[in-house]
Order: sequence, then structure tokens, then C-alpha cells
Amino acid sequence: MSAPLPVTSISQTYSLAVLLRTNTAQLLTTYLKYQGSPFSDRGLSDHGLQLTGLPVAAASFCAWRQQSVEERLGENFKAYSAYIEFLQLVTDDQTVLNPTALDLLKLLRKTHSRIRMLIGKLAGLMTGLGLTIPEVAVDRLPAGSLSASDWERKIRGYVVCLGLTNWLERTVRDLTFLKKKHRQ
Amino acid sequence: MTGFASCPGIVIITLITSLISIPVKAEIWTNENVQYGRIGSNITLLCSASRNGSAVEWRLNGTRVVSSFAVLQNGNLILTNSDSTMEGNYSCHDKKGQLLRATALRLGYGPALLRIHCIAANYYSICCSWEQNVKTFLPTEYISTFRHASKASEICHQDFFRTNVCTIKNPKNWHSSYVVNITEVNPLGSTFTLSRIQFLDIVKPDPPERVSAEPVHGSPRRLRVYWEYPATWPKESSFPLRFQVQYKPMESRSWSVVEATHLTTELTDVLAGHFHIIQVRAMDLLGNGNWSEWSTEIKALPWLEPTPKPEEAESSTQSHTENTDHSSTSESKVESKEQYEKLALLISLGSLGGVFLALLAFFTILIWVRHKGKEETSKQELTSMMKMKSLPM
Repeated sequence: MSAPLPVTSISQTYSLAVLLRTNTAQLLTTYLKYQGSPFSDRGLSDHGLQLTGLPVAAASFCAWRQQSVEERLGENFKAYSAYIEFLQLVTDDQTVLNPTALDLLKLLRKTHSRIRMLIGKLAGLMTGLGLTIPEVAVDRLPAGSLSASDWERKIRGYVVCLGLTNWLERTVRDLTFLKKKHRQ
Repeated sequence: MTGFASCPGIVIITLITSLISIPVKAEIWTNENVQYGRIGSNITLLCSASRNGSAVEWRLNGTRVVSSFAVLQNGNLILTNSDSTMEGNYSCHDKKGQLLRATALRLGYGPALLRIHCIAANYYSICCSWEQNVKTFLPTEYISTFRHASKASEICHQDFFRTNVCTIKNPKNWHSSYVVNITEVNPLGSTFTLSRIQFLDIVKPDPPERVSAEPVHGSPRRLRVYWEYPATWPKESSFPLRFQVQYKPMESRSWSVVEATHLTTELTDVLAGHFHIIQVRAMDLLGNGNWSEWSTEIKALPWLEPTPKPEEAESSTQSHTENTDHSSTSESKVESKEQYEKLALLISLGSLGGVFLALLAFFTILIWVRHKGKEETSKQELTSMMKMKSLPM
């Protein structure tokens, strides 16, 4: 039997997720602005690009709806644990590619620290519920990440920033779901 | 004919021929008796048995074809620069008038780009509809598919009953974009149209349902409005909706709007004694997608005060019926009512004052009369006294 859902923890995590949602939307626009064409062009689309080792948020409503609390929190935990590493990589890349884009770099660092907070909160929630925190591999970046070309770095940053926005959309729904579940 | 081999041989050859020449899609309309052609092009109508140039006669809808646009060549009819007037039933007859071949000719245009519009009334299905930009006048079918960019194509399901509509069932949420492909096929060929859709942009709930409004007893300026989630939006909701209620007095042209997150709200500033029109619309609480359309209008009257005195009732019903005549705002109606009230007060005060004055005058006169009376009496006394004094002793 799991412990009752800790209300304040969920509320706090929810508020952080809502904040991050706005944060990451802003990060994406700011990021694209500095990469030049075609990233900065209007009507840019992702063409389904993915990075090895970076989890995608995409899930059908029905499958998502049926997740257990453990799966729900676990997936989020694993995702952000991966994103935090990629985000650091993107920050390093942008420091080289766009050293004068101070607002972008600041935003990247702010997002990084907030994601770290989110991971902490998710871990706290899981511990509070007596759930096992999933194991995450320490070094998830694919081989050769550090020797990528400028173009590859830009693409990579785009996929990370875009992926983050998708994950935050999902996380906010996950936490809304958990909040409502507690009220019942 | 003995030219070809035996029957099986003919069958084999026919099979091979049809295998080779499969134009995948136009086969749908393969029908010996109908021929399709593109408007503006030259059409050749074949008369079956080529009879070494022996004279044949072509008829359109029973009438002999005599047109500058129709050329006879080896028994075949060639129509140049075809247009819709050349559509109809063509028949080829020999000298004796015997029917050799009949073909219906239908003319139109090839498929072109479509206008595709996708909408999601909730987070678990997307509905795409499309329409032609230019009418083709030919039988048409559509193949509808979608993909998330690099993944395999999946079917967008078409309903038997609804034309030009397909549904993507159980799409992936939190995925950036889909590409929808609608391929239009008609006897003259096929063309596909692609449309990229961002799920979060196309979300548009259906309007709220069962909207109703009730007066609030004792409050002539309030109305309580109730509504429900649209049936197509899951209520269990990790996807809560937010709402807007718009309302106005029936005669007014401008709406007031209030926000709400629950399924009811109380309007606190409605115009007393007036029917109001109310509508509600919904949107995803997190701001994804679009507002729904407004729900159908409902009418409601706030609580009315109990019937007042006859004169006042008259003046208030008068102002009520005058509403439609005046173009001025309803505030002036309220003002005139207040003016009536002030007038009544003045009249009553005035009449009260008049009564006071009358009383005052009355008493003054009374006192004066009495005073006068006393004088008279004393005068009389004096004169009588004097008379007595003057009498001889």
C-alpha cells in the first residue's frame, strides 16, 4: 500500500512545471533566433528529428491515461535526467557558436537549474510515495557528441529545446492528473 | 477468328496485358461503356471493329454528329478542343444503321490541390476535412493518410457516411507535428496534397452544453448561469477547460464578458427587469488551441420585485414598452423612473406644506376674529357706559 499522495509536494511540483512550461517555450524561440537560417525562418518544423538517448514525450492519450503513478513519475524522472545532460551540452555548444547571445546563455542556465529542481521534486514525490526511483545511466550522451560539426550542434540544440517543450506540456498534464487523483 | 491461338491462349495474353498496364488508380473507373476525357483536349472515340475505312456513322444522343469539331478518321471519331457540350452518349453505326458500339463520354478536369482543414475537439482524435478548389465534374475518390514525419504512413479513417472527412484515431500527444496526405483520384489521374498540423494549434473544443440561467430570488440584478463540458471533451480531465460567459440585455448591442473555471457563475450586474441573452464558450485551461464557438443563445429574465402601486406600475410598464422605440441607452429609462419618484416626493411635500399653511391661516383668522370680537364687545361696553353716564338723574 503506498502512502497517501503528499498534497503540497504535488502542488509545488505542478507550479514549477507550469513555470518551466513558459520558460522552455521562451527558450525555444530565443534559441532559434540565434541560429540563423533555416532555424530562424518562419514555419520551421521538426521533421520528426530525434536524438539517440533523448526520450520523446509523444504518447497517445489512451496509453498515457492508463499509466500507474510509478510509471508516470518514473517516465518524467528518466526524461529530465537525460535532458539535463543534453541541455548542458547545448549550453557548451552555444557558448562557442553564439558567445554574444547573452540572453540565450542566461536562459539556458536558468532552464538547466530549474530542470534540476524538477528532478529533485520528482524524486522527492516518488520517495514520499514509497516508489522506486528508476536507475539512470550516468553518461547518456551518444558517442562523438563532442566532435560534432556546427550544423550538427545547431540541429541538436533545436531537438533538445523542442523536446523540452513537449515534455513540459506532458508533465503539466501528469501533475494535473495526480493533483485531481488526490482530491478524490 | 482463327488468327489467334485457342481460347486459353487469348486468356493468357489478356492477363499478361492487364498486368503490365496497371495504371494503379484509374482502374477504379474502368468501364467499357464510359469514357472519360479532359476538357480542352482532343478525344478519340473508337468504333470497335475497324472495318477498313468502311463508312460508319456516329451519333450523339441519337442524333448524327455533324460538327466542325468532330473529325472522322478510319471509323473513329476525334473531337477537338472538347468542351462540356460534347458530353453525352455516343454510338457508332454501320451503313445499315446497326449499332456497332456505344460509349458514354464524360468530360472534366484532373485532380488538383485540395484545401485541407484539421481540427481536434479533444486530445484523442483529429478530424480532417477537405474540399476541391476547382470542381472536376468527374467521379472522385480520396486516399487519406498521415504520418509523424519520419515514421510510417498510417490511415486517416474515412467514414462511410461523411464525405471528404477522415479521422486520426488516438494520435500522439506532445508530439510536434503531423503531416496529413490527402490524395485525390479521378479517371484522369491523381494528385496529393500535404498539410502539416501542429496538434496544439488545432485543438478546439465543442461549445459547452446544457447552458441554462436562473434568476436569483431577491436580487433583481443577478442571474445564475449553469453549463456543462461538451460531450466530446473528457470530463475526468487532466485537461480542464476554462470558460467565458457573455451576456447583454436583449435590446443592447454590446456584450459583457466574465471568466469562469467551474461550471457555474453568477452575473451580478444585469439590468433589472430586462431579458438578457447569454452564451458560453470553452478553451483548454493551459491555453493550448482555440476557443470553442459560442453556445446557442439562451434568454433569461432576472428576479422581478413584487407588483408596485398602480401609478408606479403604469409608469414602469410604460418605460418598459418604450424600450424598443428609443435608441437611447437603458440608463435614461432608469433616470426617468428616478425623476418620477422625485416628483412624487415633491408633490407630497408641497401638499403637506400647503396643509400647514392652511392651518396657520385658519388659526390666524380665528385669533383675529376673536380679537376683533373682543374689541367690539369692549366698544359696546364703553358706549353703553357712556350712555348711562349721560342719562339725567
